[in-house]
Amino acid sequence: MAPLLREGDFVIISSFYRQLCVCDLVVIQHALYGCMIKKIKSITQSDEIYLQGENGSSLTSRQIGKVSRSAIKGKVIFKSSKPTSNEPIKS
Amino acid sequence: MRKLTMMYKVLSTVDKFNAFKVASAHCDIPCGIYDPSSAQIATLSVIRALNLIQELQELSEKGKLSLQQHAKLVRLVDMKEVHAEQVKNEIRIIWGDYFKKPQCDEYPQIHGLVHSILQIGSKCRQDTEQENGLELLNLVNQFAEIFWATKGKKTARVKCPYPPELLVVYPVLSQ
Repeated sequence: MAPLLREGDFVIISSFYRQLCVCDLVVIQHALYGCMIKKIKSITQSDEIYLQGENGSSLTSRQIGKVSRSAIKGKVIFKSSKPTSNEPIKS
Repeated sequence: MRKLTMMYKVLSTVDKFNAFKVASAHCDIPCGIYDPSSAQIATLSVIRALNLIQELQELSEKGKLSLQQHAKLVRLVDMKEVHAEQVKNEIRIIWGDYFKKPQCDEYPQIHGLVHSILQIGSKCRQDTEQENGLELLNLVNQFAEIFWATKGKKTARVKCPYPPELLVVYPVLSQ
């Protein structure tokens, strides 16, 4: 999901949302790939959701397959990026 | 910016004491997506090429091979070579990168199995015996069964819905 999300970033998700829209970030429980985070690419009229990554190395929508709403664990409402080396975390 | 860094620090501290659930993004680098299906499809392609080569061989024995069929033979041999090498490569990657000590301890036969796949894969490249292709599929299916077992997934042997219509191991998945 780079550059939007990088390894070690935190996200807060909400299971309560009014609606899902294209480009929303969601966390889903996928039958094959497990718990994963992706961006909504499209939502069909029959309410099937297709997801995509942020870069060329991502799994494609085709590989992920259509996803039902019940597989969506929540929509990302906040993200906290891991500080870069220029902003070290003081412990 | 400082507030955001502080927020990250707070979340990191909470995570240390009560680990949050990890969501993967599944990009190629580095994410651990491995699937033997590519090797299985490449194996079926090898078998299909061997079958078609066999058909041409029968015509050749009767001395009825046209120029176009000669060209087709060249293409089929090339296809067989490429896909046999692809099988070897896919299996090598899963075995070398995915299988770690816990998986190897649980399935110690994996090393011998991979070695056999590499050997029979080379045989498929070297000659045109159909038995080699069938043996390759048998071994790759065994590999797929072990792979999915390490992921706790059940498998089923189902006839693939296209030529050569042979039994292939698929994971039984549910949403």
